[in-house]
Amino acid sequence: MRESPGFTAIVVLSVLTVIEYFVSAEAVAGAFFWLLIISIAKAAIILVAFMHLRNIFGNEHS
Amino acid sequence: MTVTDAPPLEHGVSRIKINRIGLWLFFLSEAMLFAGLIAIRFSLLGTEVDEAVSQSIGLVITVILLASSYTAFRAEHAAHKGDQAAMVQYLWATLILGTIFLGGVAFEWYEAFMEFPPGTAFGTVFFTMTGIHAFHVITGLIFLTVLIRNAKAGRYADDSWPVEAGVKYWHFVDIVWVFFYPVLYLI
Repeated sequence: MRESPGFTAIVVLSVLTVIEYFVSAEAVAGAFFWLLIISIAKAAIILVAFMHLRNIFGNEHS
Repeated sequence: MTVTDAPPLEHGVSRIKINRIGLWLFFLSEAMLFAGLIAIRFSLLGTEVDEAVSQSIGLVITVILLASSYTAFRAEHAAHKGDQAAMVQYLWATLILGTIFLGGVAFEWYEAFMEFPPGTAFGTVFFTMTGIHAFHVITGLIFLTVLIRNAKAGRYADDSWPVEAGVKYWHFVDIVWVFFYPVLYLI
């Protein structure tokens, strides 16, 4: 089956959000650090997969 | 003439390239505002979160906003492919999900007014951060409404730049929430 564009990104983002929730709920050691890493990873996914950060200087459609 | 078809400016720089760089510079300036709010939050509260804040509502509205980013992305993808019908459908989906997110924030505010009013330290931080973010969501929803209206009139058949700009703004609002969610609900 052909995967729709962006589908993998939204699945990974959702999984990371749930992990984030449990890191906080279970008070995992070093939670602050892990929440920071997960937030940066989520922002990076949106920037690269959805916002086409690499195409800022391109003429083509992103 | 459309943005993409416009002749190159001096030194061969195209209009679409200028537009994109301008949009990203706007995002950069906005990011400084939101980074300042996060800095204020840690300065006032350290790493504490009021236990009355509803983590389940936070999780649900976060997933809804992320889902709206996906539908916005699909709208832009459809616009670039020239599929006007799909573009309008995905823009509608984004608008609905964004409105649900806003409803969740409004519900959270209703409870927050009783648990930690604006006069308290956490209340001040919570209402300021969610309020400014909600204002950006509302402007995004207005932008999406204009896009849907114009798309139905066939105005983006030759030029999809307005859709790209509106969708990127929506993604930016989503990225801001990616950092606000743990800062307000989890840490």
